Amino acid sequence: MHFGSTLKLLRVDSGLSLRALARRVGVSSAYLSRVENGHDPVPTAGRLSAIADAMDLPPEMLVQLAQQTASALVDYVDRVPAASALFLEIARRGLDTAQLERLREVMDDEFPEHDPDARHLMSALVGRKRVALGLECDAIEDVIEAGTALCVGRDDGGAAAEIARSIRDREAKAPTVIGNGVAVPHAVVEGASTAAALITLATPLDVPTPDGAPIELAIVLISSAGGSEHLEVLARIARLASHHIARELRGVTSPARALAIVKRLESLR
Amino acid sequence: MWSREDSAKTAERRVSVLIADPSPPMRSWLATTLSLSASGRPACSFVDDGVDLLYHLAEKGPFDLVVAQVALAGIDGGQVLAMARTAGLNTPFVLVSAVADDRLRSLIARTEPAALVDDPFDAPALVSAAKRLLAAAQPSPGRVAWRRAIAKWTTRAAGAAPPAARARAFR
Repeated sequence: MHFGSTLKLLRVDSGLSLRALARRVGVSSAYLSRVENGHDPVPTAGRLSAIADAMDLPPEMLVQLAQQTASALVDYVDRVPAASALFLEIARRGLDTAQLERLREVMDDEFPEHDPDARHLMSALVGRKRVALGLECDAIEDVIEAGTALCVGRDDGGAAAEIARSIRDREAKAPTVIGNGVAVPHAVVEGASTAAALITLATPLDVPTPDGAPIELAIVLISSAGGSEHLEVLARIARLASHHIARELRGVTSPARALAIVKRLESLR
Repeated sequence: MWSREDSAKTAERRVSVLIADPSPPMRSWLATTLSLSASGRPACSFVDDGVDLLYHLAEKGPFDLVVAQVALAGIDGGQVLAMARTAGLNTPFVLVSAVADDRLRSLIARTEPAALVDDPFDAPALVSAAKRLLAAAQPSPGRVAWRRAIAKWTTRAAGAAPPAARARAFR
């Protein structure tokens, strides 16, 4: 975990939004976001003190943390000398932020983090391969079909059709439009792998919703088991909806960017 | 006289109730109503929105009974009930609504054990709904005690007054 990630955890734990912390420190939220995402270097000692003050933490804590992060990198390079060569190659080629983001995407795909606490996170359940942005759908049934295909795949001997039917049947009994432009068509299907698809709609669906807002975003969820795990995932989705995820994803065209937004909203309380 | 021994016995047969309502006075009134009218005081947990209701059901359960407003921020009580049933959770739900439509009534009819209490309501109406649901639920040590306790509810419940905020709605 780099310094920025830890800083982000501390900020969230302090109950501060990115914007609120930036305002208190007197920097732009864009700068703070770059630091948190590891795109900008660790701030100077003076600025670290200001950040610590704003979060009501001892200033030396952040300074020590920054030093520990650097030492963790040194330890890693000592243990895995090949890493040093790769870092030098990245520096020699002068990869910019966007290119490093692509490198991170490859890492996430090929070497996902094994964090047991992350298994219910939407960002982990969705992954970039199950994101469809700006889809044209005329009805919720189309969304369910598309989402199921993303979760299960099309060449599956009819399983996708069967699962889509389960979700449609459940939806007919109790539509899962939860407000703020979000629908969560879902089903518990024994034997299926738990997965979710995130779909934004090119044209919002004008169907009855609790707050009258048309559906802009659907998260199609298939759970292998019911019980508390399924409810917890639904709770996480409802939390994202209350953080206006549909509005945040409006106009987003890159799956990586969409997942970054999901991750950011998931870190909010 | 209330003794330590009595207290221990009561603790053994406490029934867990999850109460979801955006209004703190209403949450207190619901808990008081259930407490005053039962011989074994239920252990009440409280949430003020639908998202926390889902989280509590997922992480803090199982509960013997859920009493929830339909109109909750984040996700409404009816949706939570439907999601709980999809997840295989059969906890009895008492939903409270002042604007129940046919769709909600139909949902409740299909998702037993569940009951709708039309708002405004008085204490006996709530107690009666809880009594019916718990009597229909599978017996468990907690629920057996609850059944004993609810025998005293109906007569005593009328003594609990609603909070001022809700009382205004009664007029």
